[in-house]
Amino acid sequence: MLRFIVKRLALILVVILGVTVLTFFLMYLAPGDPAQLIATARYGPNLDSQQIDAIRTAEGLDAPVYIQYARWLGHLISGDFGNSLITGEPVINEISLRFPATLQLAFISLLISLLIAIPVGVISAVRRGSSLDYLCMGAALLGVSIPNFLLALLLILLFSVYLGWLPVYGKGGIEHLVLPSVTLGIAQAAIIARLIRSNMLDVLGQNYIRTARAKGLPDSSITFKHALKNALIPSVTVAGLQFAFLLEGSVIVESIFAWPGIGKLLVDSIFARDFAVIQGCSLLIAVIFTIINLAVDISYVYLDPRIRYGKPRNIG
Amino acid sequence: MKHIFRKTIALLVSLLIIACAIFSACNQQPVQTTSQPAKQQVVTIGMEQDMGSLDPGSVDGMYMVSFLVYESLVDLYPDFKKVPGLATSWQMSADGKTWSFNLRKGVKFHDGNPFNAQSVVTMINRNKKLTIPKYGFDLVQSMETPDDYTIRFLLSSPSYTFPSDMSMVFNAIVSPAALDSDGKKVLKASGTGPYKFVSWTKGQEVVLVRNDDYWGTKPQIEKVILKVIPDPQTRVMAIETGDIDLMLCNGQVPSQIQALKTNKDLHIASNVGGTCSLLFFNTFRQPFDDIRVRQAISSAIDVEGSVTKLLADMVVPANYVFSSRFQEFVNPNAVARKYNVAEAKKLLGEAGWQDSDNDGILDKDGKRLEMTLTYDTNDLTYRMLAEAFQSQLKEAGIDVKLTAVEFGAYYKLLANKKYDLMLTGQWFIPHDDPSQFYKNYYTAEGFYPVYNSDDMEQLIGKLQVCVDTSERLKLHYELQKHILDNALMIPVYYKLNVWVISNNIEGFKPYPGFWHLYKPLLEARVK
Repeated sequence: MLRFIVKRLALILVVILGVTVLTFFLMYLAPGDPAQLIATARYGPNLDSQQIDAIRTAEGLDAPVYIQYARWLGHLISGDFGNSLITGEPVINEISLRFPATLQLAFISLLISLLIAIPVGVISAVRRGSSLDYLCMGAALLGVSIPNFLLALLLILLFSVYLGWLPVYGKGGIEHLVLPSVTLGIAQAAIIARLIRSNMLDVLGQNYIRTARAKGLPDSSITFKHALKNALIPSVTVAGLQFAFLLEGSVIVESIFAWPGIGKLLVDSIFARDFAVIQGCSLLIAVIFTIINLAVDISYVYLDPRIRYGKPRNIG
Repeated sequence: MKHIFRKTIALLVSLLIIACAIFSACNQQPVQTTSQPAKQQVVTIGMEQDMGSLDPGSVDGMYMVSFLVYESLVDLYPDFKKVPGLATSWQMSADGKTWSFNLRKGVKFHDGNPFNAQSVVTMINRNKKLTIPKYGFDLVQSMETPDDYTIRFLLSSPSYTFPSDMSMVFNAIVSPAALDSDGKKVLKASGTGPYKFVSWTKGQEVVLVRNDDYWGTKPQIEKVILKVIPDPQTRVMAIETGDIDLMLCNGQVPSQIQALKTNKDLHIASNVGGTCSLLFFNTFRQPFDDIRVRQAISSAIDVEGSVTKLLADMVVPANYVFSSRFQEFVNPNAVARKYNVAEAKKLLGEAGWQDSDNDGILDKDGKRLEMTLTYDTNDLTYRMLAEAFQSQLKEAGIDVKLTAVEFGAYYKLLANKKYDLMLTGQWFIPHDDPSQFYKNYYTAEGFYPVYNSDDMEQLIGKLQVCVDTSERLKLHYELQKHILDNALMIPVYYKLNVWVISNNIEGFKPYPGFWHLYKPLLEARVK
């Protein structure tokens, strides 16, 4: 197991390096002159070519791309993420200011989604083919299909504009968290509920369930103790990955609710070609994704005794 | 065994509650929700962009907040005309190379330090060290301070627009004590303006309080809270619920403004602002090198009809090179061509374009009259207009293809002259004197040259060094006439500064410009 973790950690380093290389070079493929876009974000579009050239030289954008990447990597190794090309603030400050807000939203959204998904998934699997099943799965289909900007606006209209129960936007007390996390949570819940339902159905058809029934165990015991526990395993992967997605920040939901998270920061930086911030954010996202993936894989060992890493026959 | 299920749910619920409790305890700022009780002079504004920095001229988002906290030597508030700011008067030498400013006495920065000639010297020297847009300060060769309240700028070349340049946000005066040891970075927002900076929660809000030691008339509003709300729909809903009291329309669609008009708790006020939007021809390409084709296209497009029908309340149709906010600089006799399809067809016929194959599209020497119309994909107003122009040009026998491009690509196409027709915003004119506009578009050294001619180059060259007021005005008039007579572009619309204002705010009169958009708060009060 330890060998497996060490090996995976080494691989993670390679993946992360790959992500930074790819992001850096992809940024240069986007249309537009970076120096000009940076200048525009800083000062508006009113600059002549000399002023733009001055920014190009000052920010080192005149060097070849690979040199720029090497410089960035050099600084990174010494622990320096660089400064934002727009605000001049250290990237690490920009990210650390916004990441907690994203983390908070992601965590609550995931909890809400599990709270909805588990009961809905279980009920529709147990009552398969009933009107309750159709209702639940219909709602799940709606939840997956509805674009989150639309859901966000509908929720604001209902709960803030008409009923006046919750604030429209911003970060503050718990009441500010409700609408953005429900918006994000509903889509996640829909995905996870459908997954739980199909896994439950799969498990409920297994021999050991038939055995349990033959032994005369009560239905509830079969459903929750024997079936749900096993059906939850694949959902852990999905929930883990969904959580990683949520941690990248949802730019649309963050924009609509004026939630000061990392998604909005990343997209603003892309439009302004703020390379330092884009690199910093993608690095963070890559680290989160790979670590969560590893954590999911490790958690299998505890959830499913059949899985054992490190033993050759069990490594896929 | 139902209890396992119940246990899972109970665990999740308790996790949710604990998480909420922990996170809300961690929040840095107290909740700022509903509108303030009447009489308490607090105003909440919803702004699109965070301010980004404490430096008055450093980041786009800071500009509007800047002029509540900082001031320049020359002010352009309230009518977009030069009035005394931190300087009470200014004089130019006969050769236009020396400008003397008499400074206001008894003014203090928010940190308690006195404002004097030395503070201006510090700021100009600082600006010269930075890579920021060079407005005026780059011309300053040396400065003399005969006494604490007089400053003389000795310029490297004559500049008639120097006081206008000094009105800009880049030249706002920051307390020298607020700069870092290098004298470059602004560490504290300490200006001389009517509001003092209190706090800035990044990505969330900026709080200002009234400067009770302000040298001018003290505003009635005691506290200004600027909330960052990037999404245009959310800003609308926030003002509908009373979470904010004021918002500047930007990114909203005309139907939203119509809907807001019917809200009895709100009112809408606007003033001309921003810049003019234009349609450029690529005069370096065929067939736009032919003046008759340009004139024909100018006649074939119904600018007034399209703008009025599609974008009412947000913009007004343009007839002149500059909007009315440039007052005396606008030549009343240089007017855009009127909509006239018959005239357009006649001109195209004269230029040799005929519909020889009767397909509705004109042709010449076997080539169809086809062109592309490029616009910024993020600008909804351009998309709506481009579609209207496309169908109007078809009537005149011109086949137009629409090309929407991303912002980054847009300026590159303009700079590299890779377009036929392009809908674009007028080069941002930074202050009350639009002299700089011509240079950027109509000279070979401009950043986005759209036309070159010896006549224009000569006129623009003369304007740059001319220091005689009436002579300059004549040159302005001549240049505008030249632009429209030669159909070098089509003025499309002037953007309005449209404000949605809660009815509990009175006296807020929208400003006709750009930098000082929040400054009407000085006259406003909460009912």
